[in-house]
Amino acid sequence: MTNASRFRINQPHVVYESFADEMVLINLASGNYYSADRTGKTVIQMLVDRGSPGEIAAALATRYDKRLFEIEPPVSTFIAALQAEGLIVPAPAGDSPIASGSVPPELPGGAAGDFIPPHLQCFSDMQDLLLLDPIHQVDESGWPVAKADSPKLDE
Amino acid sequence: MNKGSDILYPSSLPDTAALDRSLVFFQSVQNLFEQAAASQGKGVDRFFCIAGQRVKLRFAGSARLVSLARALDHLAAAATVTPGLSVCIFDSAGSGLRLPPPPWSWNSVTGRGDIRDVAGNRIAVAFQPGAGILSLFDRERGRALCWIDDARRLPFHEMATPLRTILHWFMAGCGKQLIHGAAVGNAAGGVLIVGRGGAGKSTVALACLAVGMDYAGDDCVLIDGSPEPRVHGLYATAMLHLGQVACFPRLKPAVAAADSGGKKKVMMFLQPAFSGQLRACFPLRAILLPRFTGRSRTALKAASSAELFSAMAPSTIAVLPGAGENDFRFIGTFIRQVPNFVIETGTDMELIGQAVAGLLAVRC
Repeated sequence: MTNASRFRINQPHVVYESFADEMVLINLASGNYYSADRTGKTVIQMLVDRGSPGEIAAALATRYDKRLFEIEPPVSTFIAALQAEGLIVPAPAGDSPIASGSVPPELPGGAAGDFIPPHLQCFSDMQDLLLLDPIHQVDESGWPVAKADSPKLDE
Repeated sequence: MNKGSDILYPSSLPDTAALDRSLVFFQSVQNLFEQAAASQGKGVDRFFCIAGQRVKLRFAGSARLVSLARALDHLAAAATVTPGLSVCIFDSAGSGLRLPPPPWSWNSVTGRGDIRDVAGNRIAVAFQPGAGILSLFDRERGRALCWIDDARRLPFHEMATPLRTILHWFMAGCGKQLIHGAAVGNAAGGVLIVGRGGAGKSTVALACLAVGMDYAGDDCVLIDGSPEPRVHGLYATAMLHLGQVACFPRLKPAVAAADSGGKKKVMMFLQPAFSGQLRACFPLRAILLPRFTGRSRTALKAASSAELFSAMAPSTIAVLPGAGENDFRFIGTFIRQVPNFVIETGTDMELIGQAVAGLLAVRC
Protein backbone atom coordinates (compact mmCIF):
# COMPACT_ATOMS: atom_id res chain seq x y z
CA MET A 1 0.00 0.00 0.00
CA THR A 2 1.15 3.51 -0.77
CA ASN A 3 2.34 5.80 1.96
CA ALA A 4 -0.01 8.51 0.72
CA SER A 5 -1.81 10.06 3.64
CA ARG A 6 -4.98 10.99 1.79
CA PHE A 7 -6.78 9.79 -1.31
CA ARG A 8 -9.37 10.93 -3.80
CA ILE A 9 -11.68 9.05 -6.14
CA ASN A 10 -9.95 8.42 -9.46
CA GLN A 11 -12.17 10.73 -11.50
CA PRO A 12 -13.19 10.95 -14.28
CA HIS A 13 -12.55 7.23 -14.76
CA VAL A 14 -14.44 6.19 -11.63
CA VAL A 15 -18.04 7.01 -10.81
CA TYR A 16 -20.03 5.76 -7.86
CA GLU A 17 -23.48 5.76 -6.34
CA SER A 18 -24.31 5.29 -2.65
CA PHE A 19 -27.28 3.33 -1.35
CA ALA A 20 -28.40 2.56 2.18
CA ASP A 21 -26.27 -0.55 2.66
CA GLU A 22 -23.95 -0.51 -0.30
CA MET A 23 -21.94 1.57 -2.71
CA VAL A 24 -21.67 0.67 -6.41
CA LEU A 25 -18.61 1.91 -8.29
CA ILE A 26 -17.58 1.55 -11.91
CA ASN A 27 -14.11 2.04 -13.33
CA LEU A 28 -14.64 3.11 -16.90
CA ALA A 29 -10.95 2.74 -17.66
CA SER A 30 -10.75 -0.92 -16.64
CA GLY A 31 -14.32 -1.96 -17.41
CA ASN A 32 -14.81 -3.44 -13.95
CA TYR A 33 -17.57 -2.52 -11.56
CA TYR A 34 -17.71 -3.07 -7.83
CA SER A 35 -19.95 -3.41 -4.85
CA ALA A 36 -18.69 -2.17 -1.47
CA ASP A 37 -20.63 -3.33 1.59
CA ARG A 38 -21.88 -0.97 4.28
CA THR A 39 -18.56 -0.69 6.11
CA GLY A 40 -16.75 -0.34 2.79
CA LYS A 41 -19.14 2.39 1.72
CA THR A 42 -18.39 4.27 4.94
CA VAL A 43 -14.64 3.95 4.45
CA ILE A 44 -14.92 5.25 0.87
CA GLN A 45 -17.12 8.13 1.98
CA MET A 46 -14.51 9.06 4.59
CA LEU A 47 -11.78 8.85 1.95
CA VAL A 48 -13.85 11.18 -0.25
CA ASP A 49 -13.94 13.55 2.72
CA ARG A 50 -10.11 13.32 2.72
CA GLY A 51 -9.83 11.25 5.85
CA SER A 52 -6.46 9.49 6.05
CA PRO A 53 -6.39 5.69 6.51
CA GLY A 54 -5.16 6.21 10.07
CA GLU A 55 -7.95 8.66 10.87
CA ILE A 56 -10.56 6.35 9.38
CA ALA A 57 -9.35 3.34 11.37
CA ALA A 58 -9.28 5.42 14.55
CA ALA A 59 -12.84 6.68 13.95
CA LEU A 60 -14.11 3.14 13.35
CA ALA A 61 -12.31 1.85 16.45
CA THR A 62 -14.08 4.51 18.50
CA ARG A 63 -17.46 3.76 16.94
CA TYR A 64 -17.16 0.03 17.59
CA ASP A 65 -15.34 0.30 20.87
CA LYS A 66 -12.46 -1.75 19.50
CA ARG A 67 -8.69 -1.53 19.81
CA LEU A 68 -7.00 0.16 16.88
CA PHE A 69 -4.95 -2.95 16.03
CA GLU A 70 -8.20 -4.85 15.44
CA ILE A 71 -9.55 -2.33 12.98
CA GLU A 72 -6.48 -1.07 11.17
CA PRO A 73 -5.52 -4.24 9.21
CA PRO A 74 -8.87 -4.82 7.48
CA VAL A 75 -9.23 -1.10 6.74
CA SER A 76 -5.71 -0.98 5.28
CA THR A 77 -6.37 -4.09 3.21
CA PHE A 78 -9.59 -2.57 1.90
CA ILE A 79 -7.95 0.73 1.00
CA ALA A 80 -5.10 -1.12 -0.69
CA ALA A 81 -7.67 -3.03 -2.76
CA LEU A 82 -9.36 0.23 -3.78
CA GLN A 83 -6.02 1.58 -4.88
CA ALA A 84 -4.99 -1.61 -6.68
CA GLU A 85 -8.25 -1.54 -8.63
CA GLY A 86 -7.63 2.06 -9.66
CA LEU A 87 -10.67 3.34 -7.78
CA ILE A 88 -8.70 5.80 -5.66
CA VAL A 89 -5.46 7.68 -6.18
CA PRO A 90 -3.31 9.68 -3.76
CA ALA A 91 -4.65 13.16 -3.15
CA PRO A 92 -2.36 16.11 -3.91
CA ALA A 93 0.08 16.91 -1.13
CA GLY A 94 -1.38 19.41 1.29
CA ASP A 95 -4.98 18.24 0.87
CA SER A 96 -6.70 18.54 4.20
CA PRO A 97 -9.87 16.90 5.52
CA ILE A 98 -13.10 18.43 4.20
CA ALA A 99 -15.32 16.85 6.85
CA SER A 100 -15.16 16.18 10.56
CA GLY A 101 -13.49 12.79 10.16
CA SER A 102 -16.07 11.09 12.35
CA VAL A 103 -17.91 7.98 11.21
CA PRO A 104 -21.20 8.81 9.46
CA PRO A 105 -24.13 8.10 11.80
CA GLU A 106 -25.77 5.69 9.33
CA LEU A 107 -23.17 3.03 10.21
CA PRO A 108 -24.40 1.38 13.40
CA GLY A 109 -21.74 1.04 16.04
CA GLY A 110 -21.36 0.08 19.67
CA ALA A 111 -24.43 -1.72 20.89
CA ALA A 112 -26.16 -1.21 17.56
CA GLY A 113 -23.88 -3.49 15.62
CA ASP A 114 -20.60 -5.38 15.43
CA PHE A 115 -17.74 -4.28 13.26
CA ILE A 116 -17.86 -6.10 9.94
CA PRO A 117 -14.62 -5.74 7.96
CA PRO A 118 -15.09 -3.73 4.75
CA HIS A 119 -15.48 -5.84 1.64
CA LEU A 120 -15.15 -5.03 -2.04
CA GLN A 121 -16.66 -7.32 -4.66
CA CYS A 122 -15.45 -7.00 -8.26
CA PHE A 123 -17.47 -7.80 -11.40
CA SER A 124 -15.70 -8.04 -14.73
CA ASP A 125 -18.48 -9.15 -17.06
CA MET A 126 -18.68 -5.73 -18.79
CA GLN A 127 -14.94 -5.45 -19.30
CA ASP A 128 -14.91 -6.45 -22.97
CA LEU A 129 -17.29 -3.64 -23.85
CA LEU A 130 -15.57 -0.85 -21.98
CA LEU A 131 -11.93 -1.59 -22.69
CA LEU A 132 -9.97 -0.35 -25.66
CA ASP A 133 -10.58 -2.51 -28.69
CA PRO A 134 -7.54 -1.81 -30.86
CA ILE A 135 -8.15 -1.52 -34.57
CA HIS A 136 -5.20 -3.08 -36.31
CA GLN A 137 -5.98 -2.71 -39.96
CA VAL A 138 -7.19 0.31 -41.93
CA ASP A 139 -7.56 0.73 -45.67
CA GLU A 140 -5.90 3.38 -47.83
CA SER A 141 -8.60 5.92 -46.91
CA GLY A 142 -7.82 5.49 -43.20
CA TRP A 143 -10.92 3.47 -42.20
CA PRO A 144 -10.97 0.03 -40.56
CA VAL A 145 -11.15 -2.89 -42.92
CA ALA A 146 -14.41 -4.85 -42.59
CA LYS A 147 -14.03 -8.36 -41.26
CA ALA A 148 -14.24 -10.87 -44.10
CA ASP A 149 -16.38 -13.24 -42.02
CA SER A 150 -19.18 -10.72 -41.37
CA PRO A 151 -22.53 -12.26 -42.32
CA LYS A 152 -24.18 -10.61 -45.30
CA LEU A 153 -27.95 -10.34 -45.36
CA ASP A 154 -29.88 -10.55 -48.59
CA GLU A 155 -31.69 -7.52 -49.94
CA MET B 1 -34.51 15.42 -13.32
CA ASN B 2 -32.33 16.80 -16.04
CA LYS B 3 -29.11 15.42 -17.28
CA GLY B 4 -26.39 16.63 -19.51
CA SER B 5 -24.34 14.59 -21.88
CA ASP B 6 -21.08 12.96 -20.99
CA ILE B 7 -17.82 13.09 -22.76
CA LEU B 8 -15.72 10.57 -20.96
CA TYR B 9 -12.22 11.67 -21.61
CA PRO B 10 -12.01 15.34 -22.50
CA SER B 11 -8.37 15.88 -23.31
CA SER B 12 -8.55 19.54 -22.45
CA LEU B 13 -11.00 22.34 -21.85
CA PRO B 14 -11.92 24.48 -24.84
CA ASP B 15 -9.83 23.07 -27.63
CA THR B 16 -10.88 25.22 -30.55
CA ALA B 17 -8.69 23.46 -33.07
CA ALA B 18 -10.08 20.04 -32.11
CA LEU B 19 -13.65 21.34 -32.27
CA ASP B 20 -12.95 22.87 -35.67
CA ARG B 21 -11.59 19.54 -36.92
CA SER B 22 -14.73 17.77 -35.63
CA LEU B 23 -17.00 20.35 -37.28
CA VAL B 24 -15.14 20.15 -40.57
CA PHE B 25 -15.36 16.36 -40.47
CA PHE B 26 -19.08 16.51 -39.62
CA GLN B 27 -19.70 18.83 -42.57
CA SER B 28 -17.72 16.67 -44.96
CA VAL B 29 -19.76 13.59 -43.96
CA GLN B 30 -22.95 15.67 -44.33
CA ASN B 31 -21.83 16.65 -47.86
CA LEU B 32 -21.27 13.00 -48.71
CA PHE B 33 -24.78 12.18 -47.52
CA GLU B 34 -26.23 14.91 -49.75
CA GLN B 35 -24.26 13.46 -52.66
CA ALA B 36 -25.64 9.99 -51.90
CA ALA B 37 -29.20 11.35 -51.63
CA ALA B 38 -28.87 13.31 -54.90
CA SER B 39 -27.63 10.24 -56.74
CA GLN B 40 -30.76 8.32 -55.69
CA GLY B 41 -33.42 10.92 -56.38
CA LYS B 42 -33.70 12.74 -53.09
CA GLY B 43 -33.70 9.93 -50.55
CA VAL B 44 -36.46 8.80 -48.22
CA ASP B 45 -37.70 10.91 -45.31
CA ARG B 46 -39.48 9.36 -42.32
CA PHE B 47 -40.87 11.12 -39.25
CA PHE B 48 -41.40 9.82 -35.73
CA CYS B 49 -42.53 11.00 -32.34
CA ILE B 50 -40.20 9.42 -29.77
CA ALA B 51 -40.77 10.19 -26.08
CA GLY B 52 -42.55 13.37 -27.11
CA GLN B 53 -39.74 14.52 -29.42
CA ARG B 54 -40.11 14.93 -33.17
CA VAL B 55 -37.44 13.01 -35.02
CA LYS B 56 -36.72 13.04 -38.74
CA LEU B 57 -34.78 10.24 -40.40
CA ARG B 58 -33.38 10.87 -43.89
CA PHE B 59 -32.24 7.77 -45.76
CA ALA B 60 -30.07 7.67 -48.86
CA GLY B 61 -29.67 4.05 -49.83
CA SER B 62 -31.22 0.67 -50.47
CA ALA B 63 -34.44 -0.80 -49.14
CA ARG B 64 -32.31 -2.68 -46.61
CA LEU B 65 -31.03 0.63 -45.26
CA VAL B 66 -34.53 2.15 -45.07
CA SER B 67 -35.72 -0.97 -43.24
CA LEU B 68 -33.77 0.29 -40.23
CA ALA B 69 -36.84 2.44 -39.57
CA ARG B 70 -39.07 -0.61 -39.25
CA ALA B 71 -38.32 -0.97 -35.54
CA LEU B 72 -39.73 2.54 -35.03
CA ASP B 73 -42.77 2.22 -37.34
CA HIS B 74 -45.22 2.21 -34.42
CA LEU B 75 -44.03 5.73 -33.52
CA ALA B 76 -44.51 7.16 -37.02
CA ALA B 77 -45.70 10.76 -37.01
CA ALA B 78 -46.70 13.47 -39.46
CA ALA B 79 -43.97 15.34 -41.30
CA THR B 80 -42.61 18.45 -39.64
CA VAL B 81 -40.20 21.14 -40.78
CA THR B 82 -38.84 21.63 -37.27
CA PRO B 83 -37.80 18.24 -35.85
CA GLY B 84 -35.87 18.27 -32.59
CA LEU B 85 -33.51 15.73 -34.11
CA SER B 86 -32.68 15.16 -37.75
CA VAL B 87 -30.59 12.10 -38.67
CA CYS B 88 -29.08 11.47 -42.12
CA ILE B 89 -28.37 7.78 -42.78
CA PHE B 90 -26.40 6.26 -45.66
CA ASP B 91 -24.01 3.45 -46.41
CA SER B 92 -20.92 3.05 -48.52
CA ALA B 93 -22.03 -0.21 -50.12
CA GLY B 94 -25.19 1.42 -51.49
CA SER B 95 -23.76 4.81 -52.41
CA GLY B 96 -20.27 3.80 -53.47
CA LEU B 97 -18.99 6.80 -51.51
CA ARG B 98 -16.05 6.52 -49.12
CA LEU B 99 -15.70 8.58 -45.96
CA PRO B 100 -12.96 11.20 -45.70
CA PRO B 101 -10.03 10.30 -43.43
CA PRO B 102 -11.03 10.58 -39.77
CA PRO B 103 -9.50 13.35 -37.62
CA TRP B 104 -8.65 10.87 -34.85
CA SER B 105 -6.30 7.94 -34.41
CA TRP B 106 -7.71 4.42 -34.23
CA ASN B 107 -5.73 3.45 -31.17
CA SER B 108 -8.22 5.28 -28.94
CA VAL B 109 -11.45 3.37 -29.71
CA THR B 110 -13.12 1.41 -26.92
CA GLY B 111 -15.10 -1.76 -27.34
CA ARG B 112 -18.35 0.16 -27.00
CA GLY B 113 -17.32 2.72 -29.63
CA ASP B 114 -15.95 5.73 -27.73
CA ILE B 115 -13.25 7.64 -29.54
CA ARG B 116 -11.24 9.01 -26.68
CA ASP B 117 -9.26 11.64 -28.50
CA VAL B 118 -12.25 13.55 -29.85
CA ALA B 119 -12.26 16.69 -27.73
CA GLY B 120 -15.06 19.05 -26.83
CA ASN B 121 -18.71 18.64 -26.02
CA ARG B 122 -20.45 19.88 -29.13
CA ILE B 123 -19.79 17.01 -31.54
CA ALA B 124 -20.31 13.50 -30.21
CA VAL B 125 -18.67 10.70 -32.18
CA ALA B 126 -18.75 6.92 -31.87
CA PHE B 127 -17.58 4.14 -34.12
CA GLN B 128 -18.67 0.53 -33.76
CA PRO B 129 -16.08 -1.49 -35.67
CA GLY B 130 -18.00 -4.78 -35.51
CA ALA B 131 -21.11 -3.33 -37.11
CA GLY B 132 -19.25 -0.76 -39.23
CA ILE B 133 -21.34 2.16 -37.95
CA LEU B 134 -20.14 5.72 -37.47
CA SER B 135 -22.43 7.98 -35.43
CA LEU B 136 -22.01 11.75 -35.26
CA PHE B 137 -24.19 14.18 -33.35
CA ASP B 138 -24.05 17.97 -33.31
CA ARG B 139 -25.61 18.86 -29.96
CA GLU B 140 -26.02 22.52 -30.82
CA ARG B 141 -28.01 21.96 -34.01
CA GLY B 142 -29.83 18.70 -33.18
CA ARG B 143 -28.40 17.10 -36.31
CA ALA B 144 -26.88 13.67 -36.58
CA LEU B 145 -25.24 11.50 -39.19
CA CYS B 146 -25.17 7.74 -39.29
CA TRP B 147 -22.82 6.16 -41.80
CA ILE B 148 -22.88 2.40 -42.25
CA ASP B 149 -20.24 0.46 -44.09
CA ASP B 150 -22.70 -2.03 -45.61
CA ALA B 151 -26.35 -2.12 -44.54
CA ARG B 152 -26.58 -5.72 -45.75
CA ARG B 153 -24.01 -6.76 -43.16
CA LEU B 154 -25.69 -5.11 -40.17
CA PRO B 155 -25.92 -7.45 -37.18
CA PHE B 156 -29.36 -8.43 -35.94
CA HIS B 157 -29.05 -6.28 -32.87
CA GLU B 158 -28.56 -3.14 -34.97
CA MET B 159 -31.73 -3.87 -36.96
CA ALA B 160 -33.68 -4.43 -33.72
CA THR B 161 -32.35 -1.32 -31.93
CA PRO B 162 -31.27 1.09 -34.70
CA LEU B 163 -29.65 4.46 -34.01
CA ARG B 164 -29.59 3.86 -30.25
CA THR B 165 -26.29 5.73 -29.81
CA ILE B 166 -27.60 8.87 -31.48
CA LEU B 167 -30.94 8.61 -29.68
CA HIS B 168 -29.10 8.24 -26.38
CA TRP B 169 -27.11 11.43 -27.01
CA PHE B 170 -30.16 13.38 -28.17
CA MET B 171 -32.51 12.19 -25.43
CA ALA B 172 -29.92 13.00 -22.73
CA GLY B 173 -30.36 16.63 -23.67
CA CYS B 174 -34.14 16.23 -23.25
CA GLY B 175 -33.87 14.86 -19.70
CA LYS B 176 -34.43 11.24 -20.74
CA GLN B 177 -32.17 8.27 -20.30
CA LEU B 178 -31.85 5.34 -22.65
CA ILE B 179 -31.77 2.15 -20.60
CA HIS B 180 -30.78 -1.42 -21.32
CA GLY B 181 -34.06 -2.92 -20.21
CA ALA B 182 -37.54 -4.06 -21.17
CA ALA B 183 -40.92 -2.58 -20.24
CA VAL B 184 -44.48 -3.88 -20.19
CA GLY B 185 -47.68 -2.70 -18.57
CA ASN B 186 -51.40 -2.15 -18.73
CA ALA B 187 -53.87 0.61 -17.94
CA ALA B 188 -52.56 0.68 -14.35
CA GLY B 189 -49.03 1.56 -15.41
CA GLY B 190 -45.91 -0.32 -16.29
CA VAL B 191 -42.86 -2.15 -15.01
CA LEU B 192 -39.27 -1.79 -16.11
CA ILE B 193 -37.37 -5.08 -16.36
CA VAL B 194 -33.61 -4.78 -15.99
CA GLY B 195 -30.63 -7.10 -15.92
CA ARG B 196 -27.53 -8.10 -17.79
CA GLY B 197 -27.74 -9.88 -21.12
CA GLY B 198 -29.29 -13.30 -20.61
CA ALA B 199 -30.97 -12.35 -17.34
CA GLY B 200 -34.43 -13.06 -18.76
CA LYS B 201 -35.72 -9.59 -19.62
CA SER B 202 -37.12 -10.69 -22.98
CA THR B 203 -38.72 -13.78 -21.48
CA VAL B 204 -40.63 -11.73 -18.91
CA ALA B 205 -41.58 -9.03 -21.42
CA LEU B 206 -42.80 -11.51 -24.04
CA ALA B 207 -44.63 -13.61 -21.45
CA CYS B 208 -46.54 -10.46 -20.52
CA LEU B 209 -47.18 -9.56 -24.16
CA ALA B 210 -48.47 -13.08 -24.78
CA VAL B 211 -51.10 -12.78 -22.03
CA GLY B 212 -52.37 -9.51 -23.51
CA MET B 213 -50.38 -6.87 -21.65
CA ASP B 214 -48.99 -3.78 -23.38
CA TYR B 215 -45.39 -3.62 -24.51
CA ALA B 216 -42.80 -0.86 -24.72
CA GLY B 217 -39.63 -2.79 -25.56
CA ASP B 218 -37.45 -5.76 -24.65
CA ASP B 219 -33.91 -4.40 -24.87
CA CYS B 220 -33.81 -0.59 -24.94
CA VAL B 221 -36.35 1.86 -23.55
CA LEU B 222 -36.26 5.47 -22.39
CA ILE B 223 -36.97 6.60 -18.84
CA ASP B 224 -37.53 9.95 -17.20
CA GLY B 225 -38.27 10.91 -13.64
CA SER B 226 -40.23 14.11 -14.01
CA PRO B 227 -43.07 14.86 -13.33
CA GLU B 228 -43.27 11.20 -12.31
CA PRO B 229 -41.21 8.11 -13.15
CA ARG B 230 -42.15 7.06 -16.65
CA VAL B 231 -40.94 4.66 -19.29
CA HIS B 232 -41.14 5.46 -23.00
CA GLY B 233 -41.30 2.81 -25.69
CA LEU B 234 -38.63 2.96 -28.36
CA TYR B 235 -38.38 -0.18 -30.50
CA ALA B 236 -41.29 -2.50 -31.36
CA THR B 237 -38.93 -5.43 -31.67
CA ALA B 238 -37.87 -8.41 -29.60
CA MET B 239 -35.00 -10.85 -29.69
CA LEU B 240 -35.49 -14.37 -28.42
CA HIS B 241 -33.37 -17.50 -28.32
CA LEU B 242 -34.45 -19.92 -31.02
CA GLY B 243 -35.23 -22.59 -28.44
CA GLN B 244 -37.68 -20.30 -26.63
CA VAL B 245 -39.91 -19.53 -29.62
CA ALA B 246 -42.02 -22.62 -28.92
CA CYS B 247 -42.86 -21.17 -25.48
CA PHE B 248 -44.69 -18.28 -27.17
CA PRO B 249 -46.86 -19.72 -29.95
CA ARG B 250 -49.00 -16.56 -30.00
CA LEU B 251 -46.00 -14.50 -31.05
CA LYS B 252 -45.12 -16.56 -34.13
CA PRO B 253 -46.70 -14.05 -36.56
CA ALA B 254 -44.12 -11.48 -35.41
CA VAL B 255 -41.04 -13.61 -36.14
CA ALA B 256 -39.16 -11.87 -38.94
CA ALA B 257 -35.82 -13.59 -39.24
CA ALA B 258 -33.52 -16.06 -37.57
CA ASP B 259 -29.87 -15.33 -36.91
CA SER B 260 -27.74 -17.90 -38.63
CA GLY B 261 -24.74 -16.82 -36.55
CA GLY B 262 -23.58 -18.26 -33.28
CA LYS B 263 -26.23 -16.60 -31.11
CA LYS B 264 -29.17 -18.63 -32.47
CA LYS B 265 -31.71 -15.89 -31.93
CA VAL B 266 -34.83 -14.83 -33.75
CA MET B 267 -35.89 -11.25 -34.28
CA MET B 268 -39.52 -10.20 -34.02
CA PHE B 269 -41.17 -7.08 -35.38
CA LEU B 270 -44.27 -6.55 -33.27
CA GLN B 271 -45.74 -3.95 -35.62
CA PRO B 272 -48.26 -4.60 -37.15
CA ALA B 273 -49.20 -7.97 -35.60
CA PHE B 274 -49.33 -6.54 -32.06
CA SER B 275 -49.92 -2.87 -32.84
CA GLY B 276 -52.82 -2.73 -30.37
CA GLN B 277 -50.46 -3.65 -27.52
CA LEU B 278 -47.61 -1.27 -28.34
CA ARG B 279 -47.48 1.62 -25.88
CA ALA B 280 -45.53 4.85 -26.26
CA CYS B 281 -45.46 5.67 -22.54
CA PHE B 282 -46.33 4.21 -19.12
CA PRO B 283 -46.22 5.69 -15.66
CA LEU B 284 -43.77 3.38 -13.93
CA ARG B 285 -44.95 1.36 -10.91
CA ALA B 286 -42.01 -0.96 -10.25
CA ILE B 287 -38.62 -2.12 -11.46
CA LEU B 288 -38.06 -5.87 -11.74
CA LEU B 289 -34.91 -7.97 -11.87
CA PRO B 290 -35.58 -11.45 -13.32
CA ARG B 291 -34.08 -14.53 -11.76
CA PHE B 292 -34.90 -17.89 -13.29
CA THR B 293 -35.71 -20.57 -10.73
CA GLY B 294 -36.66 -23.61 -12.79
CA ARG B 295 -39.82 -24.03 -10.72
CA SER B 296 -43.24 -23.79 -12.33
CA ARG B 297 -44.59 -20.78 -10.47
CA THR B 298 -43.36 -17.20 -10.47
CA ALA B 299 -42.85 -15.15 -7.31
CA LEU B 300 -42.02 -11.52 -6.55
CA LYS B 301 -39.75 -10.45 -3.71
CA ALA B 302 -38.74 -6.99 -2.58
CA ALA B 303 -35.19 -6.09 -3.61
CA SER B 304 -32.76 -3.36 -2.65
CA SER B 305 -32.12 -0.37 -4.87
CA ALA B 306 -28.42 -1.27 -4.90
CA GLU B 307 -29.13 -4.74 -6.27
CA LEU B 308 -31.28 -3.34 -9.07
CA PHE B 309 -28.79 -0.56 -9.73
CA SER B 310 -25.95 -3.07 -10.13
CA ALA B 311 -28.05 -4.95 -12.67
CA MET B 312 -29.15 -1.84 -14.55
CA ALA B 313 -26.44 0.82 -14.59
CA PRO B 314 -23.31 -1.08 -15.69
CA SER B 315 -25.09 -2.99 -18.44
CA THR B 316 -26.59 0.28 -19.72
CA ILE B 317 -23.34 2.22 -19.60
CA ALA B 318 -21.48 -0.65 -21.25
CA VAL B 319 -23.51 -0.40 -24.47
CA LEU B 320 -23.77 3.37 -24.85
CA PRO B 321 -20.75 5.26 -26.18
CA GLY B 322 -20.19 8.43 -24.20
CA ALA B 323 -22.17 7.20 -21.20
CA GLY B 324 -20.61 7.89 -17.82
CA GLU B 325 -21.15 9.81 -14.63
CA ASN B 326 -24.31 11.66 -15.66
CA ASP B 327 -25.97 8.39 -16.73
CA PHE B 328 -24.86 6.70 -13.49
CA ARG B 329 -26.36 9.51 -11.42
CA PHE B 330 -29.58 9.62 -13.46
CA ILE B 331 -30.16 5.90 -13.03
CA GLY B 332 -29.30 6.09 -9.31
CA THR B 333 -31.79 8.88 -8.72
CA PHE B 334 -34.45 7.20 -10.85
CA ILE B 335 -34.18 3.80 -9.22
CA ARG B 336 -34.87 5.26 -5.77
CA GLN B 337 -38.18 6.71 -6.99
CA VAL B 338 -39.77 3.35 -7.75
CA PRO B 339 -40.28 0.13 -5.73
CA ASN B 340 -37.80 -2.60 -6.69
CA PHE B 341 -38.44 -6.34 -6.90
CA VAL B 342 -36.77 -9.56 -7.92
CA ILE B 343 -39.12 -11.60 -10.10
CA GLU B 344 -38.31 -15.26 -9.63
CA THR B 345 -39.50 -16.59 -12.94
CA GLY B 346 -40.85 -20.07 -13.35
CA THR B 347 -41.31 -22.28 -16.35
CA ASP B 348 -45.02 -21.52 -16.84
CA MET B 349 -45.00 -18.44 -19.08
CA GLU B 350 -48.62 -17.60 -18.37
CA LEU B 351 -47.90 -17.37 -14.65
CA ILE B 352 -45.14 -14.83 -15.32
CA GLY B 353 -47.62 -12.52 -17.03
CA GLN B 354 -50.15 -13.04 -14.26
CA ALA B 355 -47.56 -12.20 -11.59
CA VAL B 356 -46.68 -8.90 -13.28
CA ALA B 357 -50.33 -8.01 -13.83
CA GLY B 358 -51.02 -8.84 -10.18
CA LEU B 359 -48.20 -6.56 -9.06
CA LEU B 360 -49.58 -3.70 -11.16
CA ALA B 361 -53.03 -4.22 -9.71
CA VAL B 362 -51.59 -3.78 -6.22
CA ARG B 363 -49.28 -0.86 -7.02
CA CYS B 364 -51.63 1.34 -9.07
